Amino acid sequence: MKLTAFKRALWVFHVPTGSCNGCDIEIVAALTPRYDVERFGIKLVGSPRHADVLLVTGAVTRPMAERLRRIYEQTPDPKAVVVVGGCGTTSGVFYESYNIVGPVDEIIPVDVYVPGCPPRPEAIIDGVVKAVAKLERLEAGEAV
Amino acid sequence: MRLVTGQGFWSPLVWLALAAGVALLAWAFWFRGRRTYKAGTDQDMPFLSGEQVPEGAHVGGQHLYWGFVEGLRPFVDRVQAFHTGFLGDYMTWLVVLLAVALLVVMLT
Repeated sequence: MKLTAFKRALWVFHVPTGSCNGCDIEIVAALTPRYDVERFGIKLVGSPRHADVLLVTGAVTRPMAERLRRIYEQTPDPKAVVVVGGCGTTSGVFYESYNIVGPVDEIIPVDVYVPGCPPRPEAIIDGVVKAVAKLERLEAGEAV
Repeated sequence: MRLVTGQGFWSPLVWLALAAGVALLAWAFWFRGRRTYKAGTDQDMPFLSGEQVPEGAHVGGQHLYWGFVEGLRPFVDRVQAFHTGFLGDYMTWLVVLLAVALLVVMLT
């Protein structure tokens, strides 16, 4: 088996846009000792200005749309957006709700979708790894 | 080019070398910055949890002590009443406290 490593640590910023916290708790679970993604250099950061990946949860409520757009703008390039959960992916049970303007790809470009209600930590880690692969292709100047 | 004093020496060449070293360090930091940074966009603005940043926004000095002020609110309210802004009041306090200190010293 060929083992490959990330070229650098991957910093992730978590943006809840109106989620029920189910997906957010699973993201936290990915950080706990059982999964411990920090051993791979993947860590949550407190500002999008330090981030390589945006991890977006929630169906995007009307007030959050503008804020999500601004956070996306403030994230330096190259960046990847991973949507975690069914709500962010398709609006889920909130589809066509009066105060929902999502799903997330209606507001900002999305690179990876991790469906589930909520998705397991393994699925979230897999989504982030797919985002890493995209970032490395972008940095190498390859077609995405 | 070298002034020797009793405590050491002063040389403009040393200061010039130091300034050049600092400039080199600053350039090295700048050079390692992200080249994809987009000037004139939201990337220029501070991050306030996605909120729109008001014009000229900054964190005031009093905000740094917010916890202390709130924690000591009864004391702060009482002390603030003494801060009238009149120099005469402050001088009166000084004289009164000096007199009290003098009294304490004389009695002990």
